[in-house]
Amino acid sequence: MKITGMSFSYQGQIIFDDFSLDASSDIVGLSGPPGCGKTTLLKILAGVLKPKSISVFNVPQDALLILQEDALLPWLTGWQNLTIAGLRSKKAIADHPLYSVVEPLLEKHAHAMSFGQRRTVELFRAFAFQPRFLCLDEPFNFIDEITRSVYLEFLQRKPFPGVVVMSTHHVSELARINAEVFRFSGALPVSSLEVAR
Amino acid sequence: MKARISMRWIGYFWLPLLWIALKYGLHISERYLPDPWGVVTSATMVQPNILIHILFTTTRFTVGFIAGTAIGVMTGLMLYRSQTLRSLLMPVIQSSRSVPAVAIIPFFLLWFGFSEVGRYLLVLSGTALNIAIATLQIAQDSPERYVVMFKSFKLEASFFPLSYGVPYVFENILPTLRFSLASAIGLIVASEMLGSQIGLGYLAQSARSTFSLDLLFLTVILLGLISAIADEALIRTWRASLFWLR
Repeated sequence: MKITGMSFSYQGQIIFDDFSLDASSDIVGLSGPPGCGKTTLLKILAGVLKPKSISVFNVPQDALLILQEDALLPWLTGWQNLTIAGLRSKKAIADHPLYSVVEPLLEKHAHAMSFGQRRTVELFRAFAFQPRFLCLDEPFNFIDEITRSVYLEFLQRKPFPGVVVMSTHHVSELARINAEVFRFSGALPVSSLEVAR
Repeated sequence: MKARISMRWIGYFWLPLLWIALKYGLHISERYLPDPWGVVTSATMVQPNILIHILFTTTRFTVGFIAGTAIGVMTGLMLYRSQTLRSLLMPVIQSSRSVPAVAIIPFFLLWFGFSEVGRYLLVLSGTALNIAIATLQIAQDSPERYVVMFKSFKLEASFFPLSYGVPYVFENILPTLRFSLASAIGLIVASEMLGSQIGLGYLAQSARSTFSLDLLFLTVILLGLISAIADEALIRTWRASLFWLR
């Protein structure tokens, strides 16, 4: 994944100025204080936001972006929220290694789930979809320790092809999944990221 | 909580109480303010029974409003789905918005005469236009999280009218529904005033031509009550249907 010469402004504020990023791992972590540009970078990577200018934009196509706000439709059940995304094979879902965490939630309406449960279903949906490029913005917010651990272990093993970019405040999570970590300093505009060792 | 309920009841009754106080306390002339009891008893002098008039008016606006809402939502979602349809219809819809709904009543009288069909279609079209525009606007203003979700899974939100479109639109359309309901009542009363032999609009028109202020007051009070009850019923139905907001 390589980006060079990227500039992006939002409402008059320059967020990225001649920004460059060169990552070699297929699991990339972004960390830094709130408001430093992590979500904006994920949205640009996923093609939701368009940069003002860019020289090289070598990132995988067909990104699946999970924002901090959950996107389950509250009037549908967990299962219906999976099928609306095209995951219709009951067998494929039941055979998925993460099925045990989502199974109790499949018949429940999303509006009746807690934040953590909704997040659990949404992450399962993303992993089960097996995207070529998965962008996760603070994916484990509100998720309980046990489920978080299951997901982190899954990401560590990463039994699927494709690239994962994940932002989080918890650097320990990134270390656990052996991510190549880039740290935002917190100052704007951003031109480069510090590689965390 | 108790104070809030008390205030609500006061909200319903302060105006009639003020009317009684003004009438009997200040002895205002019959020409400006009729006797409350005279207004009540005027209901017994109406032929056919006042309940028949109420029934006709209520049925007309209820059927027209429900059908107009259904057609409006479907039209709005079709416009949301098809760029071609939007290009073809939006100029017509936008220009129709500037025409007051009451101004189209003469057209319906010319086309359908005094028939019931014309009155139903009048309310239906007045409601559907409002609802269609609101539906399109609501669908186009879908929150970022849903837009990103559909894009991520290579889907078009507009291709899920039942799973996404209708529930999301109904979640956000209550203010337009309430406005459209009030418009529907206004439209049906105006059409009854211009060309009908039954209904509260017809009664109001008759009261004007016979200088019966009692009956005119009665008609206006009944319309106010019907409007308040219909609005409350709409809100309750909306809340009961949208189970995920409870």
